[in-house]
Amino acid sequence: MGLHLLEVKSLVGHLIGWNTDPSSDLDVESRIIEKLHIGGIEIWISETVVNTWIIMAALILIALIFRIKMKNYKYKPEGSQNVIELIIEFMDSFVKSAMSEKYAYFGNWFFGVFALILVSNLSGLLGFRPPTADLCTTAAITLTTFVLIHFMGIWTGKGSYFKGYLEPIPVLLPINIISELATPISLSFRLFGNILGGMIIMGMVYMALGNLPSILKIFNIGVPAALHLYFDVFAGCIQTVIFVMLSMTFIKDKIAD
Amino acid sequence: MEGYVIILDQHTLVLVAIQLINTCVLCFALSKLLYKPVLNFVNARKEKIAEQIDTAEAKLSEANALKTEYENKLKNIDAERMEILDQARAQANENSRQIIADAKTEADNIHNRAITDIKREEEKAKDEIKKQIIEVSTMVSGKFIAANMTEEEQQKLVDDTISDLEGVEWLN
Repeated sequence: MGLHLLEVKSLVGHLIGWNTDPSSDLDVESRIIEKLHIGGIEIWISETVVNTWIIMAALILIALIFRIKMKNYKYKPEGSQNVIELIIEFMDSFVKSAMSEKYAYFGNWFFGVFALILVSNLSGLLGFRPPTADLCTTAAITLTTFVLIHFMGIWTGKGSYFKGYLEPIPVLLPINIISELATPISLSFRLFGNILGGMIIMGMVYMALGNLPSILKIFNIGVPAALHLYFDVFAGCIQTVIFVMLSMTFIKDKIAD
Repeated sequence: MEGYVIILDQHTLVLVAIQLINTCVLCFALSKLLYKPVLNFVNARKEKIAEQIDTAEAKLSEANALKTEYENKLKNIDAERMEILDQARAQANENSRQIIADAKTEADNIHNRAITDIKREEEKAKDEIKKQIIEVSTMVSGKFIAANMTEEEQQKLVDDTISDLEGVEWLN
């Protein structure tokens, strides 16, 4: 079971009435680079995983550089200290505004999530396949949100958390459970769909630009840049904020104060 | 090379697990390396700034209190100065009056002494003149008498003259 390259191509081709050629190179797949077998389980090391590792390595390296520089940090900030303080304070106030001062410690978690999603979304600009264009990544991040939502609900609400599923009337229990399950699904698919969609459109645009008659080759200048600006930078940033904001809101909603 | 766009099988679970670990590792590392230390640093500074603002406010109120105190003192100083000046003026007036009075007394004394001296000199001069008149008249009358008078007549004349002289009022 799986939706594979050719199916995506024909799906897209049918949607826009393009005469798709299965041999053309609409490259939206996450390639499987290595297949490991550990304890009878086949583990795929896909492009998504490798790209995630690259992004992680880059982020941790940057964090290390700032950490080392922090030794020279001054009471009056200057240079790179301003930048990192701006970023951290932005995240801190973002968490505080969405979740209240009391739960500001969630910033520790969401700073990492924010950085991972943002850099993943923007990595498309450097020619990487964004890890967030893979449902496995978004599902994994959403899973943590799902766990946090219900952990915080039970921890702070105790009995009232379970009672909440029977409200306003007990008959609605199945609907309440479905709505709880819909939360992570919508969260993960929103991010995944946006980034994958942008990637597919960009792939198609490159295909189309590659097949242009020579008189129209002038469109190769500027058009991809503008579209990247929208699909990678704009959509990437917006989707990051939406994902983190919604995660925090869902957790805050379940916290019984 | 094999690939996928969406897969929903056991591989999905493995990939989700890998990505879950990746996410957790990254979040943990970023939190430990960057988020917490920087936030602690920033919060420490915030507290320090708040403390400094509090100190500054306390010092300001202290300064205002001192200012009021010194302003009051300055106002009092004005009054005090006026008082001292008034006293000094009164003292000076008193002194000048005293000096003038002393000078007047001294002048009066000098004047009186001069008048006394003049009177004494006058008396002296009167006596002198009296003596000279006596001498001259004695000499003249001597010559007259020697020519035509007896001893008795002479004596009588002398006595009469002297008594006449004593009756004369001498003028200045």
